[in-house]
Amino acid sequence: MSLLRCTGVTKRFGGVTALAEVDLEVNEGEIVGLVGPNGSGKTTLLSTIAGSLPVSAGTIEFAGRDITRSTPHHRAHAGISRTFQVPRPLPSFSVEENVATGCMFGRDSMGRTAALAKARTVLELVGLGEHAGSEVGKLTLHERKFLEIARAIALDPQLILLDEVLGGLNPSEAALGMELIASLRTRGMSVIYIEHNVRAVSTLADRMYVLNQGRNLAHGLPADVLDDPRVVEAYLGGPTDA
Amino acid sequence: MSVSSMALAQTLLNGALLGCLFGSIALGLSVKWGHLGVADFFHLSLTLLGAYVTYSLVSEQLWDPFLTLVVTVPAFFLIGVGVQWIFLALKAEAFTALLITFALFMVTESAVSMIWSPDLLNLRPMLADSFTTSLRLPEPLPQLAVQPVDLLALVCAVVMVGVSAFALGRTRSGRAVQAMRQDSEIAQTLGVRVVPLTLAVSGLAASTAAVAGMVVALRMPLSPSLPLQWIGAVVVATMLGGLGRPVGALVAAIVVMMIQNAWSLWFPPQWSPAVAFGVLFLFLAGGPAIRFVRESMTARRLA
Repeated sequence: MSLLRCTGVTKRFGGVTALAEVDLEVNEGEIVGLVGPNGSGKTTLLSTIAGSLPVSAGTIEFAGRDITRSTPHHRAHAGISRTFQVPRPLPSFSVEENVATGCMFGRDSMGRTAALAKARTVLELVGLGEHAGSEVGKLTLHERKFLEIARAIALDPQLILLDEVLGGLNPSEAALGMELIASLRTRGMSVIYIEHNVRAVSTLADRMYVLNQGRNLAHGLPADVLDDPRVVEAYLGGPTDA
Repeated sequence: MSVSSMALAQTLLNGALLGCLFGSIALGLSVKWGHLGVADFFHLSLTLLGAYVTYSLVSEQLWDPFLTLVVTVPAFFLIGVGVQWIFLALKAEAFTALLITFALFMVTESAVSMIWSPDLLNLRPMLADSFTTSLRLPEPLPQLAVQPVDLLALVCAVVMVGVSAFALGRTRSGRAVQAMRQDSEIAQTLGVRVVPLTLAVSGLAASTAAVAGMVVALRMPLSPSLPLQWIGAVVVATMLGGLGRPVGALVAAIVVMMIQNAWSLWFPPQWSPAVAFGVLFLFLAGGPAIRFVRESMTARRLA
């Protein structure tokens, strides 16, 4: 069953068209990979889905409701959460307070004590339990990336938007990250997952979308998409041996 | 010139109590600057406006000064909401907002001159003795005296600052404000309703100007140029206290006004406004130096 449906989503910045009539659909419990070269509009599409950027044209439906004009906090309450490509923790809050903020103001709207308790549970889940009381400034890059995921999970979303959460991680950290992303499905969440590492995306995703210059280039099963000559040419730069 | 210890103590006490009034004014500025990112000079004009409205209601309608708050607090809340709504509608950056508030600051001074006249207006002759008769401090300091209206300034400052600090630090809404201050976009994605919260904070900050304005009307003769006289001490207190920190703003205002008052005992009083900025300069210049020395000592200890 369709959870998210973007139809003809267009985003213009002045004279520059970042997204041109992009279609995208996510079903319940599905992990959808979103790939494309730099500047293809992946993060812009994520921002329009999260409500951080208003669309210039097109519609976005979530759980059967038109949310095209909804504010970001309405979308958070509706069940959409996101991470950012460059981690943006709230710097004067501790690690657990960052996560608890999502619990306090997200879908469940908890009190502070309950929110902190839930935050610690979520931090255990992503492997940051021992850092709960730490300052966010003391976290390493991979810990900050996982904090982004923890904060997004804390909202109890139906759909979680992950923007290059494995970027810059070493192979063992990335493996942990992939396990974590795979576990989101078992927690009842659907995922849109942007990553430069196409192999990582194809391993996790049920379906993939490819954007190029702000337009849909291809979509389908990962194996089919990776074999699509248009994708190979536009995104991978030529045929590969893999 | 020698100064007796009692004269010095009285001067410092007067400075501290005047600092409470400036702390009340700085509270709203600090909250708006620190949490909404708007250096709102119009807040000083609102304080002046509050003082003049209080003057009119007390002198012409014979209202009790405290009763005037029933009118001014909600009215100023709406003004604060309206001003912030304009910033949001214009998507005003910090500098644009600063220019708008500065324009409102100048316009308000002129409007007050036109409506109430540029002459000094003094409410004190119309007040009951309970407002104006000095009170002696109890033993062991019976030589020191305070004005009841200064005690009112102290109470208003402590209550407003205490409530603000509690609300910001201990309540759910305060957590939302703190999240919003740090990163508005992130706060929204975490479910914080940023727009209504911003409007409410602006309205509440403006409401504090109504209270401070009432104290001003009781405390001193009114003239349209008063905000220009306050601006140095209020801005310095806001910055010294740490933007968005109500208790810091009050403490800084008290310290600055004590120093400024003490200065005028030994040096020409016309220089006293420069004292506030001198303190700010020392703070800004000394802060990095102290940090450098502390870090050097830590590094040496670890080596």
